[in-house]
Formats: sequence, C-alpha cells, structure tokens
Amino acid sequence: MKRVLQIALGIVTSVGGFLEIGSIATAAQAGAGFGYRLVWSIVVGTACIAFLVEMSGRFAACSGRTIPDALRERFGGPAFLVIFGVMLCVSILVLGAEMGGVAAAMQLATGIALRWWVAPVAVLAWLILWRGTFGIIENGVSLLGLVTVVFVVAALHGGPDYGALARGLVPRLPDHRPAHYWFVAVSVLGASISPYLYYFYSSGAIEDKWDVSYLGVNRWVAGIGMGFGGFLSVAVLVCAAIVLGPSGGDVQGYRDLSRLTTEILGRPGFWLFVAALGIACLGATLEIALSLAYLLAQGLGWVWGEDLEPRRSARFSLSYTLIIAIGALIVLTGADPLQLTNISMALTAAALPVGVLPFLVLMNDRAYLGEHTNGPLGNAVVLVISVLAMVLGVISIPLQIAGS
Amino acid sequence: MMDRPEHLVADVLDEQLVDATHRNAGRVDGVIAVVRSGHAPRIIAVEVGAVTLAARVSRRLAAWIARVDRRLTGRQGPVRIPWDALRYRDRYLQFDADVDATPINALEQWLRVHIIERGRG
Repeated sequence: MKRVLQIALGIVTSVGGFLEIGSIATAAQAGAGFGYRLVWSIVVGTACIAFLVEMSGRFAACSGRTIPDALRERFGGPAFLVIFGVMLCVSILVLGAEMGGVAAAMQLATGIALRWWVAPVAVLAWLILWRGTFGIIENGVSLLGLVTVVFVVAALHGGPDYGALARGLVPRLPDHRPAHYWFVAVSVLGASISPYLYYFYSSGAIEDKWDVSYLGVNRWVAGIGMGFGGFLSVAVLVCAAIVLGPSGGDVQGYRDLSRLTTEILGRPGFWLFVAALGIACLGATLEIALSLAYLLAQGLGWVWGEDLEPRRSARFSLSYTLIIAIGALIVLTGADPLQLTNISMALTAAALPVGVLPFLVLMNDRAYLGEHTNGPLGNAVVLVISVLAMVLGVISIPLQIAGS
Repeated sequence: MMDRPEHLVADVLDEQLVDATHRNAGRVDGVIAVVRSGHAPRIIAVEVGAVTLAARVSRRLAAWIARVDRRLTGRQGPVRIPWDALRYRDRYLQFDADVDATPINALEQWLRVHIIERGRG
C-alpha cells in the first residue's frame, strides 16, 4: 500500500511539475503556426525525457550516487567543469525565462508591468528554497501545478480535430516556413528534454534515500508521470491550434498565451491560465536553481542538501541564491521573455549531447549499476533523439535568427 | 594508505573526500609526488581546493582564483592532506579529522560567518 501511495504521489507530482514556460510557449507556437503537424515533436521529446528520468532514478537507487558525483569521478575535473559550464550557460537562460513567466502571470493578474514583479518573484523563490525543505518543493509546488490540467479541459471543450491530431503523430515536412517549423520543433524538444529535470530527479532520489527496492516505483513514476506530462503539452498545442491557428499568426506575447484557455473557457479560463502559468514557472524556477546548485556542490564535493539548514551548507545555499539573482538580472535586461524562452529552449536542445552522452556512459557502467545497466532500447532512444536534437538545433538556430 | 593496487588517476584523483564524521570535505583535486633522481616517485599528499582544480584547466584561471581565495580566507595555497592520513571508507576517501578544523572549509566558514550569520543579525 505504501508503494502504491508513493507511485501515485510521484506520478501526480511529475504531472504537476511537467509544464513550465518552455513547454507552454513552444507547444503554443507549434499549434499556432502549424496546427497539429508538430504533435510528433512533443511525443518524441516526452519519450526521451521519460527514459532519461527513469535512468537517473535507477542510477541514484542502484549506485547511491548523484549524477554529478559520478560524472566528476568517471570523467575527471576538467571534463566536469566543461559539462557544468555548458549546463550553467543554458540553464541560466531557461531560469530567466521561467522567472519571466512568473512575472508575466503577475502582470496578467494585476496589470502592473512585468519588470516590477521580477524582484518580488526572485525573493519569493529564494525564500522558499532558503526556508523550505525538499518535500515542500517536490510535492507542494508540484501538487499546486496540477492546475495546468486546465489545458486538457480547454482542449476537450474546444473540440479538436482528432483526425488531424492523429496525423500529427507522424513526422512530416512543413508546407510553409520550413526554417521556423524546424526551429519550433527543436524548441519543443529542448523544452521537453530539459536536463535540469533529470538532474533534479536524481538528486531528489538521493535526498529521499532511494535504494534498489525503489526501481519499480521509479519506472512507474517516470513512465506514467512523464507520459501524462507530455499529454498536457499536447493539450496546449491543441488549444493553440483551435484558438490561434485559424488566424495563422505567431504567439506574440503572454497575452496571446492567455487566449488559449480564455477563448474556450471564458473568464474562469483566464484566471486558471494565470494560476497555471505562475505556479508552473515558479516550480521550474525552484527546480532549476536547485539543480544548478546540486550540480556544483556535488561535483566539487561540498556539503549539500535542501533539507540542511543554510548555515550548515553555506556554499550550496549561497550558490542557488546567486543563481536566482543572475536569473532575475537576465529578465531585467529587458530581453523579450518569449524570445528568451525560444532561444533558451533551442539552445538546450543543441547542447543536449554534452550532458546526455556522458550520462549514457555512466548508465552502461557496471561499476555503478551492477546488473541494472541500460538495455539497448534505452540507449538507442536517448542517443538518437539527443543527437538529432543537436543537429536540428545547430542548423535551425542560425536560420531562425537570420530569418527574424 | 591502502593495501590494494590503485590506478592513481582513475581511482584517487577526483574522488570524494569525507572527514572523520563522514561529512563531505571536497574532492581530491591533485596528487603530490616527490620525484628524486635515482629513487622511485613517492606519493606524499593529495591537494584539495578550487585552485588546484582550476590549474588542471588553465594556469591563469588558477592564479585568479588563488587571489580571490587569499583575499577572502587568508589561505596561502591549496590544502594538502598527507597520503598516510587517508583511508578508504565505503567508496570514499576519509581522513581522521573534523573538516571544520582544517583549512579545507575556510571558504564555507567565511560565507557562514560573513554572509549567512551576519544576514540573520
């Protein structure tokens, strides 16, 4: 019974924590610009992140180590610094986008300009991390994130074209704006396969003291939790195809995003969208800041732990403090939050192999996993998708920048 | 230190260090050997600290980190732990002292005293 409850809680928190500004904005742009044609990119990205999350939980449960710990040990200090440097550069941009998302939700709710909300959002995120525990962040915020189910309700109410939705599962070449099509596809992949998700999950497994008896729980949570999370992203795409698709326009700002639920569900839809955007982006802000602090502390061998008092893990606690401050500064530079989201998601996809390939080496090392090393299917899925995402990213990012 | 054959780079360099109470105490960022003509090289200590790690990437970066570290903590260089003071415990390298009583945690303590506790008033 205890295991069933653990699985249920894990699935619910995975679903509640899946959507964030990256997945909402990229799925909305996919639906607005190309109807149902890019559903496949969400499915592919979700499959990859489900495999990666399952692997990261299995790694922690079998080896008792976090991924950064093993990366440093297996590949050495200089290689670890390269991986950390790339992850930091990409994730800090994503963090800026997420903090911009929370501030945008506040702007939609109050009418007060986004920039005035950046500092309060940063302080709120910092306070939750400073005063809170891992359980509050993992379960509390993710449970609140279940409000993102509003996109499913709106998609079903909107009357989707199920035939076109099914045809969208098969990758097809675009019939117009090919550079933008591939850029959006890459951004969707980057949003789905954000490395912070599996780094956070792996550290959480260590914080929760998982061992091999958790492998079953891990498999269910990763498979079903991420699967339902991907379903939410498809719902966002469907809403965008219904609401924004007919005008053939792009998503120009957060106001356009709020139309996804407002035009289908009316005024309640607007407020549910504001809540969904704010909570989802706040959850992602906390997870990214913590993931980067985990990566640094575990790689350098510091004392770390979200459940420790900050004074007992000073470098770890001040790392996430500094990371949040940098994220806030990025938003305050005046960068367009949606552009920042697009670029950061595409860069995430382009940089995927830097984090994923060394992780795959670890997942095939019997010294860490004993008999629980990867099978050929997991290796193939993650390898092919991450390399494909990198190739598409390297090609489409310059084309998109040149085109815009 | 140990009675099993070790590959220094693979098995010791970059390993997690823990103190007597099993608290994380950094990583083995460098290995120090004495090389004397006519004698076999002899490992005498391991080094811990960002300066040593940075020196494996760039001497200039290491010099910059050393300046900042000296200014904040007063530490004059990387911390060395004698080879004979180390032993394997579980899968970590352990030394028999409290990490707070060594200069390894000088930055941690500086941040605790000057930022966190001052911030709490």
